[in-house]
Amino acid sequence: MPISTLNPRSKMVLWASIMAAGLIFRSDWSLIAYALLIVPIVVLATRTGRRFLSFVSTVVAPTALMLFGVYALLVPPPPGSAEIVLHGVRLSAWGFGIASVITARLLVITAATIGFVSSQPLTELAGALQVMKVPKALVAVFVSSFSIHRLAIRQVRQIADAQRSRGLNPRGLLLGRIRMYIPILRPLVFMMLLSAVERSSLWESRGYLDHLATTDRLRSHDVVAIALAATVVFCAVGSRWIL
Amino acid sequence: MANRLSEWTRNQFPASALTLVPVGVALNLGIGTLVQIIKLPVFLDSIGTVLVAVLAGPLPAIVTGLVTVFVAGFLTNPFLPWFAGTAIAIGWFSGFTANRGGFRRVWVWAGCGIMMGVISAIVSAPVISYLFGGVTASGSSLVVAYLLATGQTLLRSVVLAGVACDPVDKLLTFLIVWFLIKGLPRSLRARFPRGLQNTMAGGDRQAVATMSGDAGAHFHS
Repeated sequence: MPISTLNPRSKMVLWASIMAAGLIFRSDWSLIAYALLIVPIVVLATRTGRRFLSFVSTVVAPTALMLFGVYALLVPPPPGSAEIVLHGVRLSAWGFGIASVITARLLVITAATIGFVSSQPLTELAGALQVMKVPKALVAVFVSSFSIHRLAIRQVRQIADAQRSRGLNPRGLLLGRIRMYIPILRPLVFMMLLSAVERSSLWESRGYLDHLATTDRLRSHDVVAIALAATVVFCAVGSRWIL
Repeated sequence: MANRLSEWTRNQFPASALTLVPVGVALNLGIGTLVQIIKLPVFLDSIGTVLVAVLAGPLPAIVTGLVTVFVAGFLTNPFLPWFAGTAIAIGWFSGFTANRGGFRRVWVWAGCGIMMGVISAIVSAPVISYLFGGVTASGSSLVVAYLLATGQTLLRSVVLAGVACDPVDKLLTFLIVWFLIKGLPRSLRARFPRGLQNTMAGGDRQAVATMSGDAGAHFHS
């Protein structure tokens, strides 16, 4: 069954099953090494065109979320007795450690996504998401959040410098510092809301709220791929319970 | 049914509400930088969510909160996505109270802020206690350790510590949003779906409605 002819959703499920096989590993380090093997695929994706880019991006983030959710269900919570502060700290550190391990798994897998997102221009990322039939409105919101965040940080520093040159002193009493928060925040919010109004006219004129008609349908080999993937995931999760 | 759902979604998310979501996300993330510059002992990481709730309603605010935790999870702190439930609660409650007129009087809005702090402490408590063992990067972990030493269970300690610390942060958040929105010109507030209804007192809304009606009558005659 040629993978290139598969529906994007069934491709995602197939790849997710390969990554879900990582659940078989009992050692965290083995899982990390296994997941790091995915990184070369992402590096390759940054060197190739939009199709492969959209294919990989379809896989990595949902797979990470899936693994994250399954491990959250399987890993037991830490024990709950705490009679002295030292025992409480040890308990807390162990709980924090488990959370770190769970997050480390997610981190390793999503590090590929982060590197991928950071290395691609936002317009390319938006184009790839639209090729995957993600609604335009959702794509625009997600991509704008990344770009506006950077702009907001720059504007905050500029406004803070301007206010400092007008006598703002960040070393005074707490009440004074809270009061000086507003002269910095107000121009920032005003500028961002004005840009939001302009952007809404722009999005409307570009049809961002239109729904794309789709001709996607699942064919027989898509069904086979999904069944195969479901079997692999079931075996991986089941082996974790049994082994 | 699918058509009705998509129609309902489109009504909840007009273009002006959609463009407000990235602004809310940027405010939630960017305010942290400002808090560091001024060295405030609070987080103030939900100002954007509450602002979107007042100007556009609860659903856009929920989306803002969710996008914030996941974007921040990518960019700064990988533990934040675990608090998606808290983000949903903040978005829903602030939108719900704003739509019911809570924003129109500052003392009512401040009360809603305190209540929000209690709700967010209760919603975050299971995540903090079962996933992080009561330890987070904030100073409330010391309060948790003290309560644990007095014989309280972990979950109860986290709830009590949260209820002691979160209402102050959320009260400040709500008050800051109140001052910010009250300082916006009426013409700018009117550009957003709930901008006028949620922020104007009853008499002012009636006056605006009357003026719009008169203007319409002049136009048609």
